[in-house]
Amino acid sequence: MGDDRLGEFEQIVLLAVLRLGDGAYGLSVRREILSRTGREVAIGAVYATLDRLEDKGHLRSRLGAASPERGGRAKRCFTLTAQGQRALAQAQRDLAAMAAGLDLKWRPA
Amino acid sequence: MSAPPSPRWCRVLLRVLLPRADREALLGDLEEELLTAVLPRLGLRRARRWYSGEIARSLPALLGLRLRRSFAHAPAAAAAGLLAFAAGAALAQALRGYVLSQVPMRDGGPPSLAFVVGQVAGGLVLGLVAALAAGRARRRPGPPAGGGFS
Repeated sequence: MGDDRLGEFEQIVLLAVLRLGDGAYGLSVRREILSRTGREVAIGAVYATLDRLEDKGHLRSRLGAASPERGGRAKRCFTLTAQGQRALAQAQRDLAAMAAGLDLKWRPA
Repeated sequence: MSAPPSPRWCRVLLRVLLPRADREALLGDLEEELLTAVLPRLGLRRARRWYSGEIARSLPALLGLRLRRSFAHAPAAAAAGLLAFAAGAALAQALRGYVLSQVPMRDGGPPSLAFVVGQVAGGLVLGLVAALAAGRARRRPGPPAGGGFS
């Protein structure tokens, strides 16, 4: 709880969780980020961010089902909370407001 | 097909850095990626290298996570350490009083330097143990959505 401001990577992770719905867990979030942005992030970075977002109250986690290809280990599945949705919407609005009217097709000479 | 055993140093490192529930989820993710994507593409030897590399790349973030949790629990850890120190000191003092009361012709006098140093050192050790225990503690994830293998 408390700090509602989101960093860039936090926004990316929250958007991935939102896209994945019920199937959001560490590995699927990482794959979603890779497939949409091309960024290959370490699984530890994804977990640390998910954990921080849960501490802030933007995410909620529950243990999912175990499966043989995971060595019988359970997934830790994440869902967005109402607070997380509000924080994400605010961050996107802020970004859009800052970018409004700018020519973003700038390229270095 | 089962995944090759993860390198020992990876398991030890994760045990130090993460509580059991988090560790299991992270190890499960790594094993799933290894079995379903990495092993068929890279083969056994390079898959093991990939695994070690993945842990090494994750190290700064996991260390940060561990520190953040430790600091989040710092007030509780400090309080627990202080309480443990006070309880230990009172116990040591009572024990000393009892022992001296059993020795004839010997008055208490001020405690020796060694006794005081022992008290402080014991308190510090107890405090450190409490802080580490608090740093590893975390809220539990919600109950499983469904039992068994899916």
